Amino acid sequence: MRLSGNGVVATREAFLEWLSRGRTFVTETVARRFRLPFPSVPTPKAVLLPQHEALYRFFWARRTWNVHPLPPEGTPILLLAAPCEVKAVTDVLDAVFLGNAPQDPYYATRRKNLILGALGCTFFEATCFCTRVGGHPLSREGADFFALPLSSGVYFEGEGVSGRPLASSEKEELEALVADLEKTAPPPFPEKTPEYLYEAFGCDIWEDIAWGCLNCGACTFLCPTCFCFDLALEGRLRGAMIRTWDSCMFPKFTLHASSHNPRSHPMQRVRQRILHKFSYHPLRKGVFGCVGCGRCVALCPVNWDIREAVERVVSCAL
Amino acid sequence: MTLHDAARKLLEEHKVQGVLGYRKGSLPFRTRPYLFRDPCEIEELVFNPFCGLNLARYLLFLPQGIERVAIVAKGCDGRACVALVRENRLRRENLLILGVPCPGMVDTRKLAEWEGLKEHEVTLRGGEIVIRGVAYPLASFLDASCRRCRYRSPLVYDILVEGGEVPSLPQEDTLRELRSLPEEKRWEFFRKELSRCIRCYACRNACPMCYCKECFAESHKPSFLHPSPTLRDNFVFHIGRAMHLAGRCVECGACERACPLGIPIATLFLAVSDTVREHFAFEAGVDVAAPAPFVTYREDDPNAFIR
Repeated sequence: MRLSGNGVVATREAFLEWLSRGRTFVTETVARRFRLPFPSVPTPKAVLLPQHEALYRFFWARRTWNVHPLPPEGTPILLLAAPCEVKAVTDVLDAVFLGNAPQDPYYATRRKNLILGALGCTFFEATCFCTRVGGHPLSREGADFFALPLSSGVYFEGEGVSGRPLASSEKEELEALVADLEKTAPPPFPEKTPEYLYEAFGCDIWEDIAWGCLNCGACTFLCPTCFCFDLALEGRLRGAMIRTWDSCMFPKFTLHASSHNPRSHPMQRVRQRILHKFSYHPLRKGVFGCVGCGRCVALCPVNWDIREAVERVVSCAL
Repeated sequence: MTLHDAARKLLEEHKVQGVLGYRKGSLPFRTRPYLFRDPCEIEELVFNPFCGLNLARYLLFLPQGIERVAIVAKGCDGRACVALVRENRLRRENLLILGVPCPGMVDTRKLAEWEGLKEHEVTLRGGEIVIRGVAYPLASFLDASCRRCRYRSPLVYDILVEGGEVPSLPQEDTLRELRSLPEEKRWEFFRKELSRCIRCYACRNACPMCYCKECFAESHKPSFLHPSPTLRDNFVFHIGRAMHLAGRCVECGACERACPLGIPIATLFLAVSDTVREHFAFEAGVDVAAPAPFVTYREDDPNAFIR
């Protein structure tokens, strides 16, 4: 049980009215489960790290380069996301873009203006595996507020929405929900998974695991934690420096100027994606680089399943 | 011979080193491609109305040591095999086409309305799909590419497996509605759909005919388009791909099924295929010997500009 239990129960109308006061977005996961009248974004990172972002404009004039940075507007945004998606921002993206100096000023500005709400999940979808990577469907860790739809209204923890204290029937409903989630929760990956995977780099199982993967970027682009980006100049004497998402699945991701490519083979790229999320990132930052939202599993054109891949590599290393 | 018997026999008799087929996926209704190398594994081979991927895509990416391969081919996979042989990507003698009649591939996204639907709750009966005891017309669950399909069974094959009832679905002109719209409305349709594209290239990578070592979309020298998904660059990518696939697209719809955002991208390629059919009386992957429209030079070409 991760809920403090000291929240209130508000009516659905009051909750929606409060959400409608500002610029509110919901993630597609939330939009799919609860019909809410707000525009949706595919992942939280679409708000914090837009797929197309001009960092500065430049032009050549009077024999010199003129450069004008384009800092993002500081408009506050409220984003309602599933607990796993909140974790993706607070545990992974924040650590990458704000964890070390220098911080990314573009990300920092957007993050400062983001109100992040967690909407608890009442069940596990077939693709969900947050509990395998240290998350919980009712976690409010890192979120500015927490909401959970109950049969009688919306359970709310945080500031802004007023409501009445929980009735005993609602307390029972919450307890039943927690018990039910506990029963159906997928079990965590073994504790030493990052170490096992690190050891398994040279295993001959990788070719087999990677076979079938189309090497498209559907998983990485829709992943809430994948943060890799590319910088490219648009224009020659006048133009902009553009930041776009990049994907480790693409052959040119690691292409060197010398034309050497350390990950020229599709298998190496698949291995990199698994090891980065489940080995390198946790070994460095202490948390998995995956929050178990299951998007990559649900949206993969060939049903390539990262859960199975991790299990297979772990069993190979054991 | 049934599909399983045929596939098992081929592996047991070492006629092929592998059988490209489908296996049950990790999610309800989903199947995934698999290269069967051991006859004992063949019992896991499945063929059902959820095998929307075009397996011919994997023929050019086989692991080492596979010289001769069998492929479980519905009509469109078969057409892709023929088209790849025609383009000298494959040797016909290294390929064994295990033809399976196709009932049409169900769009799994359309099953999302039924919450918690289990596989055993869905059956196919003639031209109908029965979901939890209620029959619906099958056509409304198929993609555009399947509703307009002309060749449900492969035209070229080595073994045609028996069984597999093929419902006689009417061949629908799925593009009629779009074509009847004025130009601005059609532009609006494509503008709206393509603005959602995130350029993950799933459509291209699922396409059996997109096998370029370096795609024009990712080329740096020269650079044809920017990697960011602005509407302008999205149009350049998709129209560019449509031009490259003119006279080569086998109309399988794998691109559309692969799209994680559900963009009806095959519309573009199906429209181009119709244009090629109309002007050149040519369909890709139907006849190995037929001259392909854009790579054939004739001294008596009816068009003066090319002579």
